[in-house]
Amino acid sequence: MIFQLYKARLKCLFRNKEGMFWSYMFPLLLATCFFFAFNNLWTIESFETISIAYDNEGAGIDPLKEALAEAKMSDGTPIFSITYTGKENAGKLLEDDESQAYIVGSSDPVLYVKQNGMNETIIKSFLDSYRQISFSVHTILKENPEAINQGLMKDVMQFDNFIDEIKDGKKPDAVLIYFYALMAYTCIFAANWGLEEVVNIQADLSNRGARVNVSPIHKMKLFLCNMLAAFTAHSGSLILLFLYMYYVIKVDFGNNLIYTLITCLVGSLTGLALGATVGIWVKKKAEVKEAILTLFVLGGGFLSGMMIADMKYIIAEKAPLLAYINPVNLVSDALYSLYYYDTYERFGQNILILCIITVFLGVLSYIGLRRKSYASI
Amino acid sequence: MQVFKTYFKILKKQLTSILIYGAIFLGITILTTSSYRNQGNEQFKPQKVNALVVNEDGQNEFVNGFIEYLEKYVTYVEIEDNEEARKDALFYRKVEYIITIPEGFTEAFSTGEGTNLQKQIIPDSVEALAVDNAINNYFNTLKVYKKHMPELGYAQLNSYIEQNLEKETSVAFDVVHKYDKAYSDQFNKNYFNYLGYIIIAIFISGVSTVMLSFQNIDIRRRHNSSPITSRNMNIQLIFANFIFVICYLLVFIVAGYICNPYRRIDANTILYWTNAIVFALVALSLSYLVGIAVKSKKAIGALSTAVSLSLAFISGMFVPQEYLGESVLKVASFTPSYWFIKANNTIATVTSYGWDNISGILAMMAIQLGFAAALISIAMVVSKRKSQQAN
Repeated sequence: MIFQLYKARLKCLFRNKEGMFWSYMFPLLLATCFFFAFNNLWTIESFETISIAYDNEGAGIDPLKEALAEAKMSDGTPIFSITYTGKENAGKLLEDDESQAYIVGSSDPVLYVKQNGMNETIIKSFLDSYRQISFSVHTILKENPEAINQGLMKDVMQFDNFIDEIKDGKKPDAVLIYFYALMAYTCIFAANWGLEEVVNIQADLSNRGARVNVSPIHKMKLFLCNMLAAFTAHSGSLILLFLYMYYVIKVDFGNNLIYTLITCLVGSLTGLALGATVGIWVKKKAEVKEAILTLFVLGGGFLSGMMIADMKYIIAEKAPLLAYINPVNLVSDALYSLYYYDTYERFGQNILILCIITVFLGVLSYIGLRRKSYASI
Repeated sequence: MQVFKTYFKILKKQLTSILIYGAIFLGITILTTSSYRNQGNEQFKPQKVNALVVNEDGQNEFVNGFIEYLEKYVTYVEIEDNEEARKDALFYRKVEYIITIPEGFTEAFSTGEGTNLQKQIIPDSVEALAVDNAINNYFNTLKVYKKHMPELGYAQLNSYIEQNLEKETSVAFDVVHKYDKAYSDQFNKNYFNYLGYIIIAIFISGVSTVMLSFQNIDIRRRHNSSPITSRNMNIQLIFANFIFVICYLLVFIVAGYICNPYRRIDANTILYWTNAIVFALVALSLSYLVGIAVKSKKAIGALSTAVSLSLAFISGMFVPQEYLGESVLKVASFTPSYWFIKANNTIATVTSYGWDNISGILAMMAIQLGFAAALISIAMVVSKRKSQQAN
């Protein structure tokens, strides 16, 4: 009998085209859009050789020319690609965007640029260090003329590296925040399904609820059956989205996929409980209840970085309490900590808060739901 | 004029959502506009990187001198003093360069041992390169001074280095822009690109809903038996649609003009406006088609969100076209919104108005009109079939 009810409810849910669209299709669509839009966003940042033009005004011995040509990144990419030309032609190259800057003069170089920017800063800091080195040589020779015989020039040319990069754990990738927030949004979207289940079982909310109330089945039993069906159907959307993100879009969820899946399922339960609680305790029109849920779900998504990734950080810094009670943020933060941290401390904390919220809302809706009967309706 | 009036009566019910979209859009525009103001480009300013120094070596002259020196190249940010906060800040790019001065660094540098500073950065970032350069430069110079003038203390060394730093390269701007014009174009480009999304979202949810009400089979039967000819009715509907589009665009064109801190009316501005009107016609045809083809109001809500968001993402309304992948742009070129955005981006770069410069933009507008014509033709076919159904 229970299985029959479960099956019937499941069919019911799958035939609701609107619900299916928003839970199954919409997240996939959004994930695809995110992928297309953000795929190249950060790769553009990686260093590309800067093209410059150089007019040394016919200087014979020109250490600057050599220094520019030999400047290299730590991975061996040359920093500059140089066109040697006269000043006028260099100006034309700059205007036509063929080069990003040009340098005139070798002993007292002047840098000509078109705009402020990172590459311009890099060129300038390179020239600065070049000038500073020649200044150092002058100063030292003034104080200690013997230095030239003690290998000063060699020491000056010897440019040592004083910085090591620590690479630990995963690469910081802000784009992931969008995907995690979308996943979390889809989890908590279950609230709309929870609301639907309450409307279906409460005699004062729908005709079907009234009919169910006079049927010879225990109300809680039916409610749990329906909730289970809603949970099953909604988990389907999560698994679909997860598979799509993981295999098609290749979003990095870290190494522990089982925990990722658990996070999603717990999130779905929280969503269901949230919807049920709002459905039972808010005694207002259906539109008002839906608006409240939209506020929780979409507003929660916004606060956890679904539209602007920085939002999540701003909230965590300025209003940490809000971050701890926003279920969308808890789910996305759990996913984030699974990806970014080696320890499970922060992940566990998030899941624990989610569970507490779920149990609390569950109890609340149980209290509201039990022993309601109507003599006339 | 009954049909005309009814159109606006039904549209009134959509007013809330139209106003909300409009208000959010204008709000965001005003917020982002403030960032245009202070970018004076006339003087060279080095781009500073957000950085954090974790000093495990304790305070001393050597370390302090270094930290002071680096301030010329980076902006120090305050982050909570624990590993987790630092990692989070790096992830969200609040800090792009974390330097750790390991314990015993001062000692090791004095004796020439090979202890290095440690950095945590976002891999391959260009910003880090400038900082690397500055740091290495400092210690290399220090090393040379120390070797050849070993009697100097750190305080004196730092004063030498400070003198060194005064030897800056002079930087000059070569190409002189008309800054006001450039900024005005920049603002208009962003404004109209984003407006494209609003146009589609609002037109589909607004116009389609009205058209849907007219498509109800019972209402159509009632219309057929009324003394108004179907030609008359269609003309009134088209007229009403046009009035809606014109009013709507007028509001946003005026708002865009007022919000623009560098407002000016020149050929570029007129081109932006024309392009927006052309695109509005496309969006109108699309909404018309949706209104005729779709059966329920809820479906319109879903379609409006899905179509407007996906068009906005793939054709470069939210993320500029130059950041999108090539294959995405290829697919997008089959949508009218791609040509709308492309035309806007091209208008922003036009500085002279010969036929060579303008013809490309006009071609992009023509392509949009082609899309509009195609959509309207499809709508005609659907509408014809529906009217046969009603008879």
